[in-house]
Order: sequence, then C-alpha cells, then structure tokens
Amino acid sequence: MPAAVSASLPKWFSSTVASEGAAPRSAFALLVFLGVSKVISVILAYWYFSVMIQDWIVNDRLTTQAPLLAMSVCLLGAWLLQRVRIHQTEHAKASLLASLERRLITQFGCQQHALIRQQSTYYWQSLWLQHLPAIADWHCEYRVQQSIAALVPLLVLAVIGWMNPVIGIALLIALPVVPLFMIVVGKGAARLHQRHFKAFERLGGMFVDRLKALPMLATFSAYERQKALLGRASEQLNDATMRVVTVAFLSNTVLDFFATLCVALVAVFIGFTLLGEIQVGPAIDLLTGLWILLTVPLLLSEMKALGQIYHQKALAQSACEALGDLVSEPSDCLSSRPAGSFRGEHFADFSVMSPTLKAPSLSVSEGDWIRLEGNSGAGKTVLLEALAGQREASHRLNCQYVYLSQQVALLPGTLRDNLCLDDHYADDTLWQVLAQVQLTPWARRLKQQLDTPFGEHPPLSGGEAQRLAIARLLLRDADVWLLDEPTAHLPQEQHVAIIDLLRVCCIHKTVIWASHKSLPECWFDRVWTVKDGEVLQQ
Amino acid sequence: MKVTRIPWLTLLLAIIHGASGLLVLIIASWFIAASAIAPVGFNYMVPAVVIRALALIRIGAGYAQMWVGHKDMLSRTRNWRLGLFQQLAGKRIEERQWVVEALSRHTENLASVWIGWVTHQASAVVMLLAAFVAAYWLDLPGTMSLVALGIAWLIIQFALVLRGLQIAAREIRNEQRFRFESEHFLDTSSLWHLRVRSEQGKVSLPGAPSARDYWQAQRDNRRTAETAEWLFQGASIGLLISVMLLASATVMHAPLAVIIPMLLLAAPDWLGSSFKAGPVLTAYRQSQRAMASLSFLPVGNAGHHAPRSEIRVTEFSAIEREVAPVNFSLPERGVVLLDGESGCGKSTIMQALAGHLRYTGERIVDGKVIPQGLVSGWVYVEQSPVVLQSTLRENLCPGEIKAPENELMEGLKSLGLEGLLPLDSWLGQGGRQLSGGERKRLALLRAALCRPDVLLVDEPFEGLDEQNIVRVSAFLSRLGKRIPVLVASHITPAEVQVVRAVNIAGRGEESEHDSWQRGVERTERALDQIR
Repeated sequence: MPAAVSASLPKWFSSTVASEGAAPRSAFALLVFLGVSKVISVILAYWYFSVMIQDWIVNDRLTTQAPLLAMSVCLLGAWLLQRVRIHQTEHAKASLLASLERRLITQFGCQQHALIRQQSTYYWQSLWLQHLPAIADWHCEYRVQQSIAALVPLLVLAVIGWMNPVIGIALLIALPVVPLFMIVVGKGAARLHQRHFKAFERLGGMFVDRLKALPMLATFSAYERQKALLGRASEQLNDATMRVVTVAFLSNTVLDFFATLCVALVAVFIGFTLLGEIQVGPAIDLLTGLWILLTVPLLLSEMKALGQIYHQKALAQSACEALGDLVSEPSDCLSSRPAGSFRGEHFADFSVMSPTLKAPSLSVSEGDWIRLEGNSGAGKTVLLEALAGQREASHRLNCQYVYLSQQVALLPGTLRDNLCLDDHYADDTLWQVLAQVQLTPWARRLKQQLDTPFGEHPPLSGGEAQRLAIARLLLRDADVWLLDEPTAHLPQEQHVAIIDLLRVCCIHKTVIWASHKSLPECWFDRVWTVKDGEVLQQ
Repeated sequence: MKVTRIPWLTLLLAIIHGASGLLVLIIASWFIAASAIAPVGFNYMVPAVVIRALALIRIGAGYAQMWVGHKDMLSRTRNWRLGLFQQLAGKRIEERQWVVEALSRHTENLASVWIGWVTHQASAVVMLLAAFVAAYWLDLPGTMSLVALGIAWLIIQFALVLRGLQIAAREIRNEQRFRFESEHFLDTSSLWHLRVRSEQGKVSLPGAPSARDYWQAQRDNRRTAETAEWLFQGASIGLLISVMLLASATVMHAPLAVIIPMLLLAAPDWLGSSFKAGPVLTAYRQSQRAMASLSFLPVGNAGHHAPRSEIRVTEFSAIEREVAPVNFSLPERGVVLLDGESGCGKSTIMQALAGHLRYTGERIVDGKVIPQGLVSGWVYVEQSPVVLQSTLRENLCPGEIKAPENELMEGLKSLGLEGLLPLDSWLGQGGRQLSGGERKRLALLRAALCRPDVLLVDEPFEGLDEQNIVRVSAFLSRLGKRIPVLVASHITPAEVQVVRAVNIAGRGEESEHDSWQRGVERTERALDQIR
C-alpha cells in the first residue's frame, strides 16, 4: 500500500522525485527565465509602439524607421521566446516523465506481487497513465508559471513606478488585495467542498458503479429503481458542485475585476491628466500614458494564466497521495548472491511493518523443509512475501528463490514463452522439465507443440496449469522454494498428485510451504505457526 | 433538457464578456489619444463613464458565463449519463473494466464541448466580425488588415481542428495498446520475481510496457493547440508591423487611427483562447467515438419459470467457452453440489443456467424447454459479488420487492453481518468497505430476500473462516428446504445437507481433453484431405 503522504506537495516532490537529478534545477530556472524575458521584451515593444502612436497623433508625422524596427525586433523576440518555452517545457516534461516511469517500474520490480495484488489492474493502469503525467505537468508548467506570476508583477510595478510614481504607488497598494481576496475565496470554496465532501465521495462514482452492476440489477429487476436513484443522485451532486463553484469562480472574477478595473481607472486617470483636469505626480504625455495603459494588464496576466492551469495542482496532489514512495529511487532490493550459495539464515526479532507480523526467532537451514501453518488471513502470505524481499521487513532471505502461488499466471504467448519468460533454454531442457511434471503427453498433443500460442483461454485445466508453473520454476536453478497454497483450488486427487510431484522435484531444495490442506508430517523438518501477528517456530 | 439543446444564454454571455473586454481596451486607448490632443470643449465625461461601465459589464458577464455554462455542463453530463443508462436496460456491456470506467470521463467530455470549445469560437467569430464592421463603418485606416486577420484565424483554426482529430485517433490507439499490454503485465505480477534483473544496482523488469507513446500523443495534442496560437500571434505581429509601416498621412492627428494597431497588438489576447480550446474538441471527438463503438449484448428475458418437479440441462455449455457440454438435473428442492476443479467451467455453466450467458443445449423445466435469456426468480450469486455504492438497505433490496425489516435483521444476524448495521449505513466508496467474505454473505442474503425460485451460488465458502462457513452452510441448507440450490464449490463443509452431487470435474477434465483431442484430430483429418 503506498504510504499516505501528509507532507506538502513541494516537500514530497523534493524528497521523493527530485533526488538523483530527475528534475534538474537548471531546466526549471531556464523555463522561468524564458517566461520573464518574454514579458520584458513585450514591455519594450509596447514602449516603441507608443512612441509611434505619439508620432502619429501628437507630433503629426509618420513613423520613422528606428522605433518600427525596434518594435518589430522586440515583438519577434517575444514570439520566438514563446516558442522556445513551449519546446523546453515539453522537453522537460518528457524527460521527467521518463524517469518517473522508470522508477515506478523499478519499484514494481522490487515489491512485485506483494504490491500489485493489493489493488486492481485498473487502479495500477490509472496510476501509471494519469498520475505520473500529473506530476510532470505540475512541476514543469504549474510551478514554472507560479514563479513567473510572482516575478512579473514586481517587475511591472518597478517599471511603472519608475515612470510614474503616483500610478506605481496606487497599484502597489491595490495589488496585494488580489492574492488576499483569492486566498479568502479559496478558503471559502475549500470549506464548502469539505461540507459536501460526503456527497462528492458517495455520489461521484455512482454512475460507473451502477454500470458495473448491470447483470445484478437485471437479476433483481432493480433497473428502473436504480435509474431513478441515479437521476436523483446526479441532481444532488450537481447541486453540491454548483454551491462550491459559485464561490470558487469568485477567485477568477476577483482577478478579472482588478485587471479590468485597473485598465479602466488608469485610462481615466491618464486621460484626465492629459486633459489637465488632474495634476498629481509627474506630467504625462501620450507616450507614457499609452505605454502605462498597455503595461498595466501584464500585472495580472501571468496570474490569470496560472489560474487557467490551477487544476494541475489538485491533480498533482491526488497523484502524490496515490504514488507515495513509488517514484523514489529504491535502494538495492534484489539479492546479490548467486544461486547455489544459500547456506541457511537465522533471524532474531524478525518483524514486518505493515501489516504487523513479528517473530522472536526464525531459522532456515540449507535443505530444510518448513511447513507454514495458520488460519486464512493470519499472514502466511505476508510472511512469505517478506522473506522474499517483496515487503518491507527487518530481514529477508538473501538468496535466489522461486515462488509458487495458488493462481497460476499465464502469458498469452506460446508454451515456450510461458516456460522461458525472458530467458533462453534449449528445446531438450524444456521437454525434460515437462517430462518431470508429467506434462509430456499433454504438450505432445498440442498442435504446434512448444510454439502453441495460449491466447486468452489457455488449453489447460487447473491441475495442468499448476504443473506448468512448477516446470517453469524447475528451469530456474533456485535455492529456496516458497510455496503459497499451490493446491488450494484443486480437488483432493489433484492435490495429492501435485504435492507428490513437488516432493520429488524439491527434495534437495530448501522449501517453505504454506498450506491449508493436509501434507504428510514426515516431510517437514520444522513447523512455523502464524497466529495473532506472531510467527512461532517449533 | 435534451443534450442537443443549444445553450444560448452561455453563448451570449461569453460574447458579451469577450467583446466588453476588447471595447474597454480600445475605447481607453482612443480616449487617451483623444485627450492628448483634445480641443477645448472635449466631452471627456461620456467616454470615462462608458469605460467604467464596460469594465463592470465585463466582470459581471464573466462570472455569469462561468456560472451558467457550468450549470449547463453539469446538467448535460447528467443527461448523457441517464441517456446511456437508459440504453443499457436489459443489456450487458461486453467490455473490459477500463472501458466501463472511462464512460464517466466520456460523458463529461461530451457535455463540456459547449462551454469548453463552442463558446470560445462563437465569441471569437462575433468579435472579429464586430471589429471589422465597426472599423469599416468608422472608415479607419488599415481596416483591411482585419480581413487578413480573420482569414489567418480561419485557416489556422481549420488546420488545428483537422490535426486534432488525427491526433485523437492516435491517442486512442496508443491508450488501447498500453491498456492491453499493461493488463497482461500486471496480471502476471506473480512471475516478476523470475523476470526482474539487476545490473550494477539498476533494477529492470523485462517485458514492462511503456506509456511513452500515449503520453507523446497527448503532448502532441496540446502542442498543436499551442503551435496554432503561436502561429496566429506571428500573423498578428506581421499585420501590425505592416500597418505601421504602410500608414498614410490620414493617421496624423486622428485619435481613431489608434484603434486598428491596438486591435492587432491585442489580437493574441482576445482570440488566443479559441486556439487554447482545441484539445477540448479533440477530447469530445474521442469520447464520441468511444461511445459509438461501445458494444452491448442484449440479455433477453425468458419469463418466469418456478420448477415444480425438476430442472434438467442437456448437452449444456456456454457459448464461446471451450468446455465440453454437460448433462445434469436439479430436484424441486434441496442443495445440489457442483464439483470440479477451478478452470473447468463451473462459473460459466451457472451463469448460462441463470441466463446471463448464451448457451448451447437445452434448459428444461418440468419437461418443458425454456428459451434463452434471464429467468426471473433464478438468482445467480457471483464468486465476488457486486456491492452497490449505496446504503445497506438498498443493497439488500435493490429492486421493487421489499422484504419486511425484521426479515432483514434476522438474515443479517444469521449470517453474522450485524456489524454492518444500521440499515442506513453507507457501503462502498465514501462509507464502509466490505471484505470478500462479507460481500459473499451480503449477496447471499440479498438473493434470499428477493424470494427466488432457484438459487445458483458460486464458491460461497472460499475465504470464509470456520464460523462463517458453518453459518453459510446452515443458511443454504435452510433455503434448500424450499427451493433448489445449486452450489459450486471445491470444498463441502459437513454442515451442508447435500441431496445430490454433480461432478463435472472428473468428467470435465476428461471431456475437456476429449474435446481438445477431437479438435486436434479434426484439424489433422482436414490437413490429410488437403494433402
């Protein structure tokens, strides 16, 4: 289970994701620099534009070459900077995303089935497809825009204040009101969201929930009733949503209000100053007046742009909660010992973190056969997974192991693919292990023998599938066999046949065998019993 | 409200919002220009008031547009969803889980095309037209540049839409590929310990899929919109420079001359959002396709058949499952055990018997063959049953039949489910999550409460502890006194009073082999003939 993360998003990011140069600061700084430079060249372009308009209207002459050239250069510069920023953002995102994906796969490689079996396939797919890019978007777009939105208003204020201190000071006083209002509005919306949280949580997923229940609804003739319920639930959900957005939209409106009003008031102020109706501060001509009018909207435009991608923050927050440690660089999690080197282990004060499982003392000697007992749900599988190193625990068996579970996993590829996986074995070797698990007659009957594709419905019964799984493990020359109820789903005769087979195949191996069903006592050197979160060794 | 109704109010408000913002900028710049060279007696109050009024209109329209548009979008989502649900009456969705989960997103995408795309385009078109008409009417210098701007807008917008649709198709393909690959990859996680590699401390997992292509398509989608916006910016910069360069003497001392350059300078601001909205249209098209390609399977209704003497199935097998057909019968009451190892087709036989799956062979009730389809009163309880995201009460009686409250309480008690009480407690997301064993027992009680004629229970004992196995056994035996209860299980607790056992395991595995063998022989014969 990914750990619940309480730390803030930036903290989580710097401690988990940003380690080992996955998110270089230089790339981030470059993006901010590009954004700010663009604004600077736009401000310059506005100046030369105003110079030309001043020439037209006041000085009664047509444009001279110099300001036109300067304006063109500035505008084209801004235009190109924009392009470079788009390109760089994409580049930064792709490289961050690639390293996030690599780390997720690495974590999968370390925690394996112990992790994956806790959630549905759909859950992991969503985590992969949606949550990883949410982090990349947030870092490469939202955070960059956040920095730009903080720098640009200061810059704009500085130049306006330098040009006309009166307007500068007025804006300086008015400006902090904007974030203040936005915070107030944001808090209000969050409180409303909290109040309707239950409704969102319960009614939000109801549509998909009922779609999945269609066969059940048909059985119980519940279709009409559930349709009516669904209609009412949507209504309620929409009402709750509207209540929240009614407040949340104010945030946008506050920005719009200040942006529009600033322009309107500055225009009136400049106009009246030009007319001589007001005489406060330095004198204004059309050049400075028009330039200030054009530049004032830049105060808030970057903040508006930030508002447009605000959803990225919420998406990243939920991605952070779901991902937890899954995108951190894992410490070396695989055994480094080669096969054949296992000589036994002794663990004192063995413990598993979650769910809690303790053992005062556990020992495994080379060639031991250990039987693992306990009620279902007591934690036999957890113990096996911890010993295998798939679960965080105080110790693990540092050796080459194979793991056999009750559900046989089959790939849609050929019989050969299913036996070899990513390795290569000679045909003779494959036929030899098939003979060992008594699958030769079955495999000989297959039309394409070793190259028969399995597809979605493999031509195997439960017992045959388990034999195939054993053959697959026999190919790997592992020291320790961890058996997790391999016969749980099989009827009695199959159970007897498979356990005999395992006895023959693994007689010289170290075996830890969890089973509900009866196993001959004389096979085992030790018994471990799991009960109430404790493993006792007899 | 239908999903096709045009949201006029949202459109109108969006246009007012955009136009008033543009007007503020234009009138303000003209006002400054006019003030700079104002003759005596220049009436400055009117424009000053107009500017402030427009500012207020813009703010109001902005908020109202968001509010009305969002409300409209939400009610559209609701209608899309209810409409889809309506279509699904008496059908089942033959798709993988992620396809069903995605329907929620698709309905949202379909509903948000108005507020997300159409309003932006409408206000862009109206603003462009209004700007041109006003400029023409005022006979402003450089009016023709607005025509060029409009043409540039049209061409770029057209290219964006076309390109977006291409990318949409690629995005769908890549997502599907990743979903299929990752499904196999994740479903075989128990094999990863055999596949994982470590080289110099770097762990790798061969066979792991990558979502790279899908993300690339997603990024391309957004980049196309950004590129379109950027190209349009370039076009307006070019037009601005040429207007300034080609200005004639008419611009001298004419405050109105400032309007066209201002419009061109600000063009990316007032028309940019129409390009930014591009991906919304792409998502809309994607969702439209996904909804159109959704495949349903009608379940059909076989009517009501309460067995008086027996139910018999002959040469019975679910369609498209490579399992040999079976023959067996159920008495008018009593627990019948369906035995056989996992994978031999117990679940599909039961689903076909209840009518959820189509089958070959016959279902015969009291000597009469009944048609394909669901038989009302024949209840199949799945291996991992569905629990509705709803109250406990709703989960126990999801349909019209309402069992009396004391019966509910008694049932909960006899199956050890008192912990779920009160009846109004919420189950599933946003409430109590049930364990596998609780789900099984809840579903069993749900089935019993709707007074079934036949009960088909799939692996009721799996994952239960001793105490609950005893409870479930007693519950099934009690039901067996009234109706036929078919129980598929590979373990048989001593407490269940079984009247008959049907073993499809021995036969099943053999006959499975036989059918496989027969298939192989058939192919061989066919090959011989060709030779």
